[in-house]
Amino acid sequence: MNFTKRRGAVVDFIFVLALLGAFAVSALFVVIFGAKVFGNTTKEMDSNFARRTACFYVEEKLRAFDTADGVELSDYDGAPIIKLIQKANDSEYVTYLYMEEYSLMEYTVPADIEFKLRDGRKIVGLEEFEVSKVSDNILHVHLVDEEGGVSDFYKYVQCGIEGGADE
Amino acid sequence: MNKQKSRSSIMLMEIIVTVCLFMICGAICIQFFVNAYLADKKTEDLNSAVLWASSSIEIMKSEDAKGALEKCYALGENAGKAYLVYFDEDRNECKKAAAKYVVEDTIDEGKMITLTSKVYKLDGKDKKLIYELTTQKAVY
Repeated sequence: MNFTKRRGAVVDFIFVLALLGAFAVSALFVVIFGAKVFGNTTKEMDSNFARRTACFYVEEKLRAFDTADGVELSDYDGAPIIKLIQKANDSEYVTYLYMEEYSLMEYTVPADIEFKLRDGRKIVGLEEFEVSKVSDNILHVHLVDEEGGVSDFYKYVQCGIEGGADE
Repeated sequence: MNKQKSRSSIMLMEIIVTVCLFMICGAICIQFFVNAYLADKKTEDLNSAVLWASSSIEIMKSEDAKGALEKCYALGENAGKAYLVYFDEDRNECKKAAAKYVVEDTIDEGKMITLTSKVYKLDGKDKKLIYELTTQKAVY
């Protein structure tokens, strides 16, 4: 009788322990799975943010400077640079858009001041930034964000693009 | 003996209720994760679709809209009034066979030229519209 009672208690204990173990393993699995989903979502959000910011920043700048002789394609030590030219109070100002130290940079100075890559202001982190001219009015921009997400877009410049060789 | 049997039944019931509660919580959690994952994929698709459609519209603003499309998207193909551009799963331009997305660009000439760009997600023979952008340009 005593032996049966003790055996029953041991089985109960093992069952509860096994259930607790299963609960712990399942809870761990849910937490790991959740962390992975959350990590991926955050990574994608960062990637989307970087790409969208870079794309729309460049697009809006091109739209704002779409005037006669306002957009010029150039390069500095092989790195592509978009030069946006603006005249104000008889002076000419140039805004440079380019990539330096894995970031999209912007630098606005009077046209007669020497341009240095490091003087620019960081806009958003990028791995690659390439600009090419498809035709006299269409610009092709290719960029890769820090997470490896690729974006390609085309922009029509009504007043034409100076410089740069056609694709 | 009967008293012990009744205690065991209560304990078993308790365990069953706990397991059920845990299963419900787990199912809800997993549902949240799956929804988050699907929303993430949908956002990615929408982001790409907006970029492709706006790019197509920008290209079609050129004087020779069709010619410009053919120059920018060399792997695309003409389908009646439309020009189709295909993209694969990694969102790179590709041929029709490997396509996961298709951008359908149309130019309707009237008093004004209407430019439309529709982005579809391909799923076998079905295609689901993700994004559509329409604009007009004047005829000079």
